[in-house]
Amino acid sequence: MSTTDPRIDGHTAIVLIVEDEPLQRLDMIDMAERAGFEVLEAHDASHAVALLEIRTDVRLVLTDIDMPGAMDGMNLAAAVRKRWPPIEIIIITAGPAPAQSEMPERAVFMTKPLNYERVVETMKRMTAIQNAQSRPR
Amino acid sequence: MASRASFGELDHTRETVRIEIGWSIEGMPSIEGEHRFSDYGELRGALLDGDVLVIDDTSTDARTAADATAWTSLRAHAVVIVPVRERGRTVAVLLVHKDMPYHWTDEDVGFLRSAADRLEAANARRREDEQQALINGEIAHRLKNALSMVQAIATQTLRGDASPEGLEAFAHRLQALGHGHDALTSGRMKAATLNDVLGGVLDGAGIRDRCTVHGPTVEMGARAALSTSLLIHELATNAIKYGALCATAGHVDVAWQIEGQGDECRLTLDWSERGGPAVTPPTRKGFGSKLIRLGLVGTGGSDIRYDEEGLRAAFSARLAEVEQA
Repeated sequence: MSTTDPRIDGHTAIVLIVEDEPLQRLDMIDMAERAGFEVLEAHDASHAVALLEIRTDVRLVLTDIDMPGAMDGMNLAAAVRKRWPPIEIIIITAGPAPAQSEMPERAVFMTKPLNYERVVETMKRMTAIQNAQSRPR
Repeated sequence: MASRASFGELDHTRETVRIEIGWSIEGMPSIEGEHRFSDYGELRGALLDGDVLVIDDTSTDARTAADATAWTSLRAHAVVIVPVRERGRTVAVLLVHKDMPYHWTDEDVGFLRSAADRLEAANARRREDEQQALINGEIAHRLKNALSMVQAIATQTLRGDASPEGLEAFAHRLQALGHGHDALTSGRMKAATLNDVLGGVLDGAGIRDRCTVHGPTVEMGARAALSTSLLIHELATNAIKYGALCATAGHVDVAWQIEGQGDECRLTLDWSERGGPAVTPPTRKGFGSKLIRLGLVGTGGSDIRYDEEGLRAAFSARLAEVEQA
């Protein structure tokens, strides 16, 4: 299986992009779609949770940390790891990096402004590993 | 002269002193922990007003005689308490005890007062630094968010018109600036260190493990930190595309040192590549070469040589200019 193929079981891998700032969200969606992912978008953490509750096919959550509302991106990441353990997580922020102890298992941190090639590479690697694991032997 | 010296912070609500650190001669009981003013006599007024309390004998002094047993249990028979003030309030006290009655001289008290003054100044400076670090962090956060917006706007505006390579180079330079801002705020100091600047940019380019970085701690002001971030980013990009790092065995040595003394002190930095393909000077002088020629502080002082074994770039700038904000 090529590690550059974001497809899972013949379907495009679905990522959920959580970012409150509309322009940056739009640009990230563009980045992910150009890389072959199918994208769901949320403007804050509770919106993201609501989407995850009805969609069972999300493979990866890419979330900003600082967002308005009761939950920030770190809370969201912790909730995702707890409620939907197979989902991969990428955490991004323009602020200081979270402490290693605050990072959910397997989560990856990246700083803004984003290096798009590196983000896409990481998204593909994460969904490819999942793909390999989820394929029947 | 003293038997015990301690420092305690005041809690105005509970009217207590919390003693955390101190020094004492052997045999003196520990006084660490919380103590209520009222258990030790009539001290409250003087403490809150910021007056120095000088007591030669706790068992006879009018302010403490009624609570002499409390003092005796601490083996404190002669006492000086110097309030440490901040913005007109007593925030802490310097306590000096003797295990027998003693007549404190004006010199004794004067010395302790000046020690407390220094503590006060150091305290104020620490708080100011903490405040500044908080503000710096907030500024960097906003700046990096703004850079992220610029990146989004540029990508969306120019997608049809600019080449993908051009857009990518632009985005990467914005990221290098972001790393520069990170380095400027990661330290507890108001300045970045050259080590942090290099680390951030090399990490960002994904080549930190292929570079050996060596040199003393050098603080950098904002201008130097940002122009050096861009400079190192260009060198790193070139090394990955055309230089030593396009070969698997390629490596980069980055070494810097301080030369000269006083006002003549200079920072010199060498970027040497090895293990890559034979290099030739670029035919086109683009923005990247200009950034490299601008050097560490943006005023030049760069020497680029295309040696047999790889590119060697030497940079030099006055240390005072590097450190300036």
